Amino acid sequence: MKKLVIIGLDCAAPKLMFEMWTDRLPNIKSLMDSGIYGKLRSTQPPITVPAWTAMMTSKDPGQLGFYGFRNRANYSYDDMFFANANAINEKTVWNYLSRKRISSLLLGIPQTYPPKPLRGTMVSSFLTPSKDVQWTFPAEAASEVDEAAGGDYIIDVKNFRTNDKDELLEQIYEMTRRRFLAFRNLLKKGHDFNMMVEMGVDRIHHAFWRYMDTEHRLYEKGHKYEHVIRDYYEMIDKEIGLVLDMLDDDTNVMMVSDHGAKTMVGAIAINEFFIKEGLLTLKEQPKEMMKLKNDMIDWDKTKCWGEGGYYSRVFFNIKGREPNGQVEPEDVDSFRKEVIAKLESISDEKGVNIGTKALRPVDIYKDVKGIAPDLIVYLGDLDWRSAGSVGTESLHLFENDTGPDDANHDKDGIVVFKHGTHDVRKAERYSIYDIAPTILAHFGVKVPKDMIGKSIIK
Amino acid sequence: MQKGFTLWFTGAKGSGKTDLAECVEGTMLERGMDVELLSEEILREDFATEQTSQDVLVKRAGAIANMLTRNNVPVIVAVNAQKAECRNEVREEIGQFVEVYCDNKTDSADFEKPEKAEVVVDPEADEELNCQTILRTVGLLGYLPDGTADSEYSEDEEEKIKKRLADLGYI
Repeated sequence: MKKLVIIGLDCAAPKLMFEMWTDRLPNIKSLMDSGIYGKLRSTQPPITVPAWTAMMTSKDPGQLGFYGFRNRANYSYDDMFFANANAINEKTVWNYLSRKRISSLLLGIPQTYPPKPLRGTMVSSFLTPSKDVQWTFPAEAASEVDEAAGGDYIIDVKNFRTNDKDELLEQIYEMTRRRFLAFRNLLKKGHDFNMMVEMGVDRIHHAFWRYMDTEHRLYEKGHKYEHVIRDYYEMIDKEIGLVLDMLDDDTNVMMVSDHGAKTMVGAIAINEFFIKEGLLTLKEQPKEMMKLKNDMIDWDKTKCWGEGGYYSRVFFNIKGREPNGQVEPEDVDSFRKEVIAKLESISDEKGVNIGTKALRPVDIYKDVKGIAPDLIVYLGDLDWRSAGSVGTESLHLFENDTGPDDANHDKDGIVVFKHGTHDVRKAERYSIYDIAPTILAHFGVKVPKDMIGKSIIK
Repeated sequence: MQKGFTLWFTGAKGSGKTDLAECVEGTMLERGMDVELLSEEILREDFATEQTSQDVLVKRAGAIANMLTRNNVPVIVAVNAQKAECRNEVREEIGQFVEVYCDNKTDSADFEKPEKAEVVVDPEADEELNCQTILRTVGLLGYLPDGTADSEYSEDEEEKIKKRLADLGYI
């Protein structure tokens, strides 16, 4: 049975990999030339959680029942839960492979803490509290993984919001090198399906995008960090080359990312916007910029509120649903239309409309489980992020309220697939939901009918 | 380390032993355990000829189960073993033996009900739930390998995660 190796690069961007720097990435280029490659349309919303799990289950966020890292547990104002591995109720690709006695090595796939049993070895990803808890399955594999990493396997960089860019860069490089080294050493165990996800690409995009992208308002030609992202992609390419050197011709190789990246223009203070529109009222006017806490809100006079993040989740305060709901149930439809119209009219600091899109979960998902946001909002179609803070003097913020961050996520990630002797369907853009069916088809496992994507292998 | 044991499904013909046995096999495989299934079909296909009597088939199932169990391979058996005496002999021989009685509440003249079955299930009930009951019992009897870490974050851990997410810009 032919083995399959997948190298996941969180946030890897098609424009950088397939256009700008292809000639500097000879190993990635060799994979592109020996198979298919294209854009990979991410989930709605295009963020790490739920994107990687959607990829590994071929189920959309509505079917999975989580819409980001933190989700409302119920319709109270405060109860939230973290979507970790315990929140996943759908079968992953390694569940199906294990059932067929096909073993997997899974290194750092997001949302795999706590690690669950499988046939093979699992190393959990960032959002593992520390290495003092069980972070591998089987538990005994932990020391093996540390050794494979050349000492101490690094799950994630300690503080990527830091202003000390040099230190951050060093940490990202160290983490990446150790992860690739661990992957190469663990490949020797001979599992059938081998997948790793490197988070460094995402970390470096967020921290250094402004220095690379000539369109960013803070770009300075000749800055010492101008080529940091490019150099990092080149380093990744070399590490990938070392992986490819180990593989025989019979092993097929895929590269994927969960979403892409683009310049972040700035942040819209979404709750300040709702205050201005008379949809949200605070008990007291804040004297300075601060995080919005639920006990600051006058719920009697509030009809909706929003969350900060790469996209904005907007929740309605509905009578009979929320504890102190204000929107009558029969008015929800018209209220929604009103809010969408207001959101889509948001303009930048110069008064130019930024092209915001507001989506209703029931329109974009096959099912809506858990507590979905009432609206999923892409401010400026993801050119702008959302800031939940209040007490900002302006709707438009240009220093992130949670620290320096230059890049937002984009809807298209990448897929590259050296598919060997398999027949494939060619397309410019594939779907994140196609990956799990493709993995199963590769191993000759029947693709379950309820997977929503289509195998790339015919 | 994986401990060997025999999970023996007992029940009248047509009581759903094989379906449930296959469900348990699938779940154990999914959780990374080594396990072998000896169903009536597999036994007839690989370990018998047309002349093989049912008694001999059951005897063979018992012998193979014993070999696997003593080598620490869990084995699931779903064979039509009507006589209690045969089943009890296998139980005596193997030791690490867990019997699941699929009680479809019918009285069959040929089928001798088990007196001591570790698990009794209603084959008409939800298959997943029956499967969970069986595995929970097997686990409580000490036959399953150590599971995973605690599923909930402690308060401390939650704070760490919150800060992490805040730093990452998600909240």
